[in-house]
Amino acid sequence: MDCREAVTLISPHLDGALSIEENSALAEHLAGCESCAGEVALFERLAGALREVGREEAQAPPELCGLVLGRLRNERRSVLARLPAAWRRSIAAAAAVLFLAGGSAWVTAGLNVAGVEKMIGLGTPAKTDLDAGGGSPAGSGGGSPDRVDPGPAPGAPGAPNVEPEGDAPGSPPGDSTADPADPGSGTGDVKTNARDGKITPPAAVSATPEGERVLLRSGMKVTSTILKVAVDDLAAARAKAASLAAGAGAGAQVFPEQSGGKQIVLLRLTVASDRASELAAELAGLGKVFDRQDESRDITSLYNETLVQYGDLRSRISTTEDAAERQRLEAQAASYKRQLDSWQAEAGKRVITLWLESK
Amino acid sequence: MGETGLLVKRAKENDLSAFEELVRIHQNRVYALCLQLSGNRDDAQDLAQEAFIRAYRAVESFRSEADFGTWLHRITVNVWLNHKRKSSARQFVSLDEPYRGNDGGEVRRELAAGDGDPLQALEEMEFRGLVRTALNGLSEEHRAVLVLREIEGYSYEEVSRMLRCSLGTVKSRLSRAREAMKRKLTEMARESGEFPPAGKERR
Repeated sequence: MDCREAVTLISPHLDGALSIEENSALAEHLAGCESCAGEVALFERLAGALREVGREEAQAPPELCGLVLGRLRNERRSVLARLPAAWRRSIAAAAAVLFLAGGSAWVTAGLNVAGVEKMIGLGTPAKTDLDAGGGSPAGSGGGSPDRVDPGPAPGAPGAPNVEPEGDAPGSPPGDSTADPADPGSGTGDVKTNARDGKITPPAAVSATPEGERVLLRSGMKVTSTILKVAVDDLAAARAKAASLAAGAGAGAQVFPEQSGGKQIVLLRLTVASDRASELAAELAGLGKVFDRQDESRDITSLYNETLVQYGDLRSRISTTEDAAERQRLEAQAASYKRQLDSWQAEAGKRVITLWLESK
Repeated sequence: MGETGLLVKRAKENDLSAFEELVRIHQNRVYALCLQLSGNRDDAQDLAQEAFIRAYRAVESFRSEADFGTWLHRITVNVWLNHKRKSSARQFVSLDEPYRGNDGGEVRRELAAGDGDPLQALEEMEFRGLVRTALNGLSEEHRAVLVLREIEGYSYEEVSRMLRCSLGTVKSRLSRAREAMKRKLTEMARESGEFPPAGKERR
C-alpha cells in the first residue's frame, strides 16, 4: 500500500468503517511510514478534541423552555384543546357526518331569519369541515360548521339579494370571509337580513379589512347545547325542526346522513340567547331526548389571544420571502381567521347542535 | 427511557406539561447541537426553539421504539438545513469569535476535569479551543458532517438520514471535512505560531 491509498483509508479507519483486511493493510503501512502515522495521530487527536467538545455540557439558555412553551400555548392546537369539550365533540360529530355525506350533500336550510342583526354568511365548505374533524391541525375548530347561514331555500320566494360578505361590491367573492377554496361558493354564500330581505351592511368586526379587526373585545361568550333526539319520522322531524328554528329566528345548517347504519340528521342552529331556551324546549319536544349537554364559555381572552396571534401571522407573512413558508403561514392565518369569524358570529348567541335519529 | 416513553405518550395526547418535561430533559443536548451547527449562540437559541416547536407538532409521528433524543436531533438538523437554505447568502464569520470567551465557567470546569497534569490540561484545552474555532471556520456542509459524526457520534447511516444524502456522500464528505479541518488548524498554527501542526509532541 502506498501513501496515496493509505490516506483514503484514514477517515473511514477513524470511523471504524474498514474491513479487517483493510485495517491490517493500513496498520502495516503505518508501521513503516512516519508521515502517514503522524497524520493518523493528528486526526485521532482531532477526533478526541471534538468528542471533548461534545462532552462539555452546553447549558441551554434558561429562557429556552419558557419560550418554546409560550409559543406552543398560543398555537392553534392548544386553542382547539381549550375549546369546550362538548363543542369539540360536536365538531367531531358534524365532521363525521359530513365525511359520510360527502361534499355534495351539504345543504343550507331555507329558513326565514328574523331578529338576527349580524350574520356571517359564509358557506362553510364541507371540505373545510372535514379538515377540522380529520385531525388536521390547520382546520382545528375553525373550519367546523360553526357558521350558520340563513340562506334562502333554493327557489324560495323572494330570495334576497346575494352578496359576498364584507366585500366591496364588485370585488371577487371568496376574499374576506369566504374560503377561496370553497367549491360550493355558489350554493351557500348567501346572506340576508331576513327582516326586510335586504343586505345587511356587515356589522361584524370580521367584515373590516385585514388589520383593522377590532382588538380586545370584552365579554365574548359562547353557549352551546347538544341535543340528541330520537324521533319516529326523521323527515317530518327535520322539517319541524327547521320551522321551529325559523320561528325562533335561528340560522340553521342541515347535514343529513347516515351514522353507523342508522339514519340521522344533524342540524346546527345559531339562535339569539333570549330565544334559545324556548327553542331548545321546542326541539326537545320533537321526540325522545336521549342526550343533552350544555356548555357556556367565556372566550374573550381566547379570542383576543388568537387575534394577537393572527396579527402576528399577518405581519410575518408580509416579511416572509420563502414561498413555501409563506404558504404555510397563510394557511395558518386563514384557519385563525375562520376561527375568529366563527367566534365572532357565535358570541352572545346560543349554538344548538341538534341530532335527530329515527327510533 | 421508560419515563421518556410515558412523557411522549402524554405529549401525543396533547399534554403540554408532559412536553415541557421533555423539553427540560433534552434542551441541553438539542441546544448543544444547535450551537455546534450554527456556531453562535443567537442562532443556536432560535434553532433550538424552532426544533422543539416542530417536534411538538410532529410528535404524533414519533414511533415509540425509536430514540427520542435522536429523533429530536434529526428534527434539529432539519431545522438547521432549512434555516441554512434561507440564509445561504449570509455566511457566519466566526473565526474571530472565540467560543469560550462568553463563559468563564467552562474554562474552570475543563481545568478541573484534566487528570493530574495542569499544563497538559491547559494545552488540551487550548487545542480544543483551536479545534472549535477551526470547526466554526469550516463550510457548513463540512461542519455538519463532523458535528454529527465526531461530536454526536452518529453512525454513517444516521448521518446520511439526517443530512438527506447517500452513505457514499457522507463518507467522502467526512474525509474532506477532516482534511479541511487539518488545513484550517495548520493555517491557524502558522498564523499564531502556537500550535505544532503535526501534534507529535505528545505521541
